[in-house]
Amino acid sequence: MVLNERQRDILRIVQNMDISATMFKNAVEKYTALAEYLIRNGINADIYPQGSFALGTVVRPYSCDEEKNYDLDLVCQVKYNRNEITPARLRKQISDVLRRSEIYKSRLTEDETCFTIDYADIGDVSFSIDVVPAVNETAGRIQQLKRLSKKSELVEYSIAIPERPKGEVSDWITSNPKGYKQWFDGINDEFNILDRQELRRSLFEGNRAIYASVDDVPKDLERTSVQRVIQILKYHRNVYYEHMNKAEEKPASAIINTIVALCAESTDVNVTVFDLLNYVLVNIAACGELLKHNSGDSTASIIVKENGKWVLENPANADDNLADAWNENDEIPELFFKWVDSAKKQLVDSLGSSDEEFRENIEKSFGVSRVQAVLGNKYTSALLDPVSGTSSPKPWRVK
Amino acid sequence: MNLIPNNIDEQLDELLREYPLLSVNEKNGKRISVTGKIQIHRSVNDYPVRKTYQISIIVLLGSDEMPSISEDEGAVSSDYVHKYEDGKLCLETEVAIRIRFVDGFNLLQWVVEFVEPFFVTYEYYASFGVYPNGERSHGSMGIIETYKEIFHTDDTISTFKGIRLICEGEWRGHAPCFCGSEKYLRKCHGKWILQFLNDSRMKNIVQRDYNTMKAEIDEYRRFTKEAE
Repeated sequence: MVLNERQRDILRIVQNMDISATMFKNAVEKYTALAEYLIRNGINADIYPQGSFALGTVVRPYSCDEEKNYDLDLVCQVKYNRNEITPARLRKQISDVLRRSEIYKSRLTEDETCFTIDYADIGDVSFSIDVVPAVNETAGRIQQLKRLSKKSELVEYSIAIPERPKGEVSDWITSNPKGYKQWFDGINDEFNILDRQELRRSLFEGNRAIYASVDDVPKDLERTSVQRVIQILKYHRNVYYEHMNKAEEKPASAIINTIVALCAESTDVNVTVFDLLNYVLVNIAACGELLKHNSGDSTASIIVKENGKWVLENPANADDNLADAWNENDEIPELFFKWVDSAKKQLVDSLGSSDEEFRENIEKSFGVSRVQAVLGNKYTSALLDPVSGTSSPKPWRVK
Repeated sequence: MNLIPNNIDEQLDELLREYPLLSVNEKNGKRISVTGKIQIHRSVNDYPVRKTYQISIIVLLGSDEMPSISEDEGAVSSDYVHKYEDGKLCLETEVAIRIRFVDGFNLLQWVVEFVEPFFVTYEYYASFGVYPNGERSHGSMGIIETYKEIFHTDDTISTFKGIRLICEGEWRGHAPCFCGSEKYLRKCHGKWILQFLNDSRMKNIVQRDYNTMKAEIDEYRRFTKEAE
């Protein structure tokens, strides 16, 4: 299906918010070097990315004032099983190795669940790698999870990572990033790469310093409709929750990834980004009816309520309720559905509005500065003059 | 002292050139009324505001009073705490506006620097329930907050002491700083208050607020004494 001009312009903005070719190359070099260092120094591990780098859904960080960090999550799956070592001991093993390095020790911070290595600014953004220490899950635990899971074939990949401690002692908790990637790729790979030749040519032309030919452009920078919809929603979420000053309560990317992939499973593989986006938002909005009910499900049954508790099961880990935080704070699901409503108005409904309204809606979605950088003054008669933060007046009242 | 300078006609022309949907609908020796629409094309915290408002501006001549502005079509909700019951808008503390225009009030700059940001802030607040750059507390606390920013002080007591020094004291660079740091004034907060001690116009601005605060303190003392 041919996209209209407004849809193509939105995709230009999405491409602009994707990780740049330079940053991607830097990220791969950095985590490859880190993995090689750990293995060379006696950490017997399988080291691999998880999250957005693994799924191809990275978006630039968003902040009103300045660019924040890109975060790359690495799993360092050491060849122990969880009964053979405690999280604290494994952490110490890895920490000792990292602190022996002149390169890493000055950049390193750690807490109970991961190590963070900060890199200096690369271009206009800074970059950090979070290394999550992990071990193999036990056979018993895997069998237990298989009995609970609808996708038992994914459970084999389960690992154990440090749980955030509730007291002084930290224990292991099951995770399954490889299984999740397997599930996600199983859906995503069915979808066509969007404008593959055009995208590869554009990336090559814009990055001749790092690519000798079009063939050198990595496949990891190609995107399907599924990945683009996830990127759009993640970035829109970042902007919305930043403006609300509620960044801590924004839905985890895992929630967005899972909802979009579940919706995509039941759509045509040739669906456009915008038809899929509309489908996803309409489905989630329908789940919003559950705000009023103690239990039930929507027509799509993506998010359900069981005995008053919100549930969105991790497809690769039946023990992981991605909507757990929703059950600890009522504001979280309320804000979530308000955000979804906002996304639908601004990204779907506005496609048929006047030029000025369309421009305003995409600025509200992606931020004024990003839209201006990509589209200039298209769709508007006047660029916006910012009210300066540091010297702006503050409203008052006599009494 | 008159707030509005003698070139008010030039300023009106300048204002109406920039905002062509405004017009003067009353002008006599005592007051000027400007009404009409202003179109806002601004952003704050990367959030766009493109909106038109129906406003009325009243400028009092031969007076030291600030111009007032009201929004006339209910685009700003009557529940908004920075909109008074009579529709007038409270843009900022007077001290902030008077300091900005100590060299001479300018109507156009007042609209650009205070009126437009008021509406932008309102739209952001209406959408998200938070102020993009904060708000002032009501009454005297809001005034103190303004002085805290100017003096770079952290607490109310130090700030009041700085105001009192300007109005009742004199500059002694080797005196202990009013903030209680034990540093000399000239090496501490002195640099932020010197402009008020050296310029009588600036001092007069602070004096107004000091007189108001002193009156409030005296009333509070009377009240507590009566309660005893």
